[in-house]
Amino acid sequence: MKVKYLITTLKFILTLGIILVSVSLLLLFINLFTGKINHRYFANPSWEMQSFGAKSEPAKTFSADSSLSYTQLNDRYLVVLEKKNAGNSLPLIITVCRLLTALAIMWIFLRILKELDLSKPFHPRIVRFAKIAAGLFILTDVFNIIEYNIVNSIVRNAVQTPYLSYLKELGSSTITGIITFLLAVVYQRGVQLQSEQDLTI
Amino acid sequence: MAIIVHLDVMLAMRKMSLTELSERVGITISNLSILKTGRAKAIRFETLDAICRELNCQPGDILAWQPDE
Repeated sequence: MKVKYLITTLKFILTLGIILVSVSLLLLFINLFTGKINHRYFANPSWEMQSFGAKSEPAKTFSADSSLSYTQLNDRYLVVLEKKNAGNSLPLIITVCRLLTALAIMWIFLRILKELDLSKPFHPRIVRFAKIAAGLFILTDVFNIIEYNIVNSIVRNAVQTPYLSYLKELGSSTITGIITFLLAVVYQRGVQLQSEQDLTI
Repeated sequence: MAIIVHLDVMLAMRKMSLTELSERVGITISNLSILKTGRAKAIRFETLDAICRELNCQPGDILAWQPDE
């Protein structure tokens, strides 16, 4: 597959993603302003949570030449909080912020793909976009951490429950952001080398 | 920059235009202009060789070093 077609496909996917996220945000805002508030977040907010701890003795199975033991480590729950208070809207705000960040990341990658010229691949504007994207990836994880703490706090303060923890992936966006930043720094060196090459007569 | 390019002086002494030199050497006018105005970062030996051949001069006639102020 030619790189040109790959870039075109990526552009299409990113444009589609931008449209979908924009429509989701638009519908969310329409619901908020028309009063048709999403019950999932306000009236009965629900979150997927998990609880750690050994539940029972390890189970053991045997075959002709080997044995396998397995222990249940965590349980997953769908926690529904039936109490309306101001704090419940915080996860929604964080979700909106995260959606906006995702929108910005997709828009930046679309701009990078538009700027990309394979005959002259190093462009200073791409370095700037890549650094902004790295920052946004890290910001996404900051939002994730805030949401994780808020949801845990809401659930634990509402009712005395066994130890439950919000099921949320943390840290992957930060790693992506750091890798993107490192790539941007390497790319920046490429821009310098290309500039020197252009000014070599 | 510490390296001064005297290409314009040499062209004037030889009564040759930049366009004519570019045609003889096989380098674009824009690149020769970059060299003449001192914006070039580096010069290839083959470029220097071609310019010296066409202007019938030594590299030292085109390039000079001047200490930074």
